[in-house]
Amino acid sequence: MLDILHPNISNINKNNIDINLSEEKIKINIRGKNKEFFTKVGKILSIILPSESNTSSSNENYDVLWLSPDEWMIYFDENKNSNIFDQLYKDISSLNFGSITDVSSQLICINIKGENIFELLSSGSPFNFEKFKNNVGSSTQTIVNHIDVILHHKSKNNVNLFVRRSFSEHLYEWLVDSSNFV
Amino acid sequence: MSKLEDYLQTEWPELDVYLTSVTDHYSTASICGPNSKKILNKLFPNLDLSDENFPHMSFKEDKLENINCRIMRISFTGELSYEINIESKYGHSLWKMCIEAGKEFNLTPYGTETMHLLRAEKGFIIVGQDTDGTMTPSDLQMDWIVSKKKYDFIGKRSLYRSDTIREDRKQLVGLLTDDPKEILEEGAQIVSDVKSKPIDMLGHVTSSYFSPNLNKSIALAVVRSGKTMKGQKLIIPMENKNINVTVSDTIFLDKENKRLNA
Repeated sequence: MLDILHPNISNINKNNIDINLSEEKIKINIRGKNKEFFTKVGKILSIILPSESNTSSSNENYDVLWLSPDEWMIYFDENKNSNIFDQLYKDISSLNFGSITDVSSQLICINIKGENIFELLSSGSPFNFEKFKNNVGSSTQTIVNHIDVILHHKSKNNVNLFVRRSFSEHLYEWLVDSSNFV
Repeated sequence: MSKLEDYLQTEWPELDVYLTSVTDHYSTASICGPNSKKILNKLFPNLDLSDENFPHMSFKEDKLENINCRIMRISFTGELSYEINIESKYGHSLWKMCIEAGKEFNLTPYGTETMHLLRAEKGFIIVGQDTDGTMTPSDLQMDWIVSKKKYDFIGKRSLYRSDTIREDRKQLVGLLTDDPKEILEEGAQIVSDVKSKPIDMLGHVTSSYFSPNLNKSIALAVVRSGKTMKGQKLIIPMENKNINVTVSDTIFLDKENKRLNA
């Protein structure tokens, strides 16, 4: 088996902020809008896709983030169900009910938790976190330190940040550095 | 991606197509040179690499220690080349395996400057360096890339407008300096007569290198009516001297594609 190399992101704790690399995670981008698409996704994942903007759905296995009116991202731990992509692809993509794309290595998940995380994120983002931080389960796509990110408010003061792999180490360095100033 | 999304929403809204970026999902290793097929054979022993089964500009799928890979026979250096795509988290492992497999063939990593030199020797353009937004495939002497059979496609009308079929448009050419050691400056202007006032600017140098393979300076340039000027003498006026050049073919090395199909 080939060795896996993750971005050079180590766990740190500063000013009540924990920053951790949260891999291995499977991330799947799903897109569709017809009835068959929603039926198949519901059946395979046992989850209803969120229809309200910037929200998410979760069950014991999966988290699903709303990305646009016909686009969602599912993420889950790799050891939970590694065959789910194949099932979705077979039942949706290959039948032209929608689009299923594995983006597991496209995006890196950095977990940020602690009391000051929203001050940290606000210091590099134009997004207003007031509503976001009070609503567990909310998600958003914004920029942090000029870098596109997807944020998921997983639980109170606990955010999963998804960033493109090539930007991940740079953003991590910025997060670590900026956590000195909040 | 933005361009594709733009076209999807404005030109082809009826298409049932979704676009999802996977740029970071994959890492790519490019293996170039006459021994690249032998190295690839060590990495993918079950893959039929014969020219009949795997010709230039085609791709195959295979596994490297059970990990899916996409292998393309494609070349930007002009050499026999293959590109291997693998999920990014395995990119470093792929690199190490390529280096290990290539040891017996003296495989060595190469950088972008080397890549640029090799592609210039072969006359492969860099869009944005050897072209600008005004240039057509015909200006680049790449008419072959445009379908003559398709009834219509985006941009077809533009190719046949009076301005785009003018014969005195700036067109891509090769330049060889009279002094083979003289390397032109990229961006330098090109003229035919330095005595006339004002000096008539014919074009400019777009890429310039010293070619170790040919042991002489080579350059690509865009020159007005360049297609018809092969063999003609031109002048590059510089601050302290004028450099004499001859218009040449854009392909300096391996016109017969022997390296590409080695």
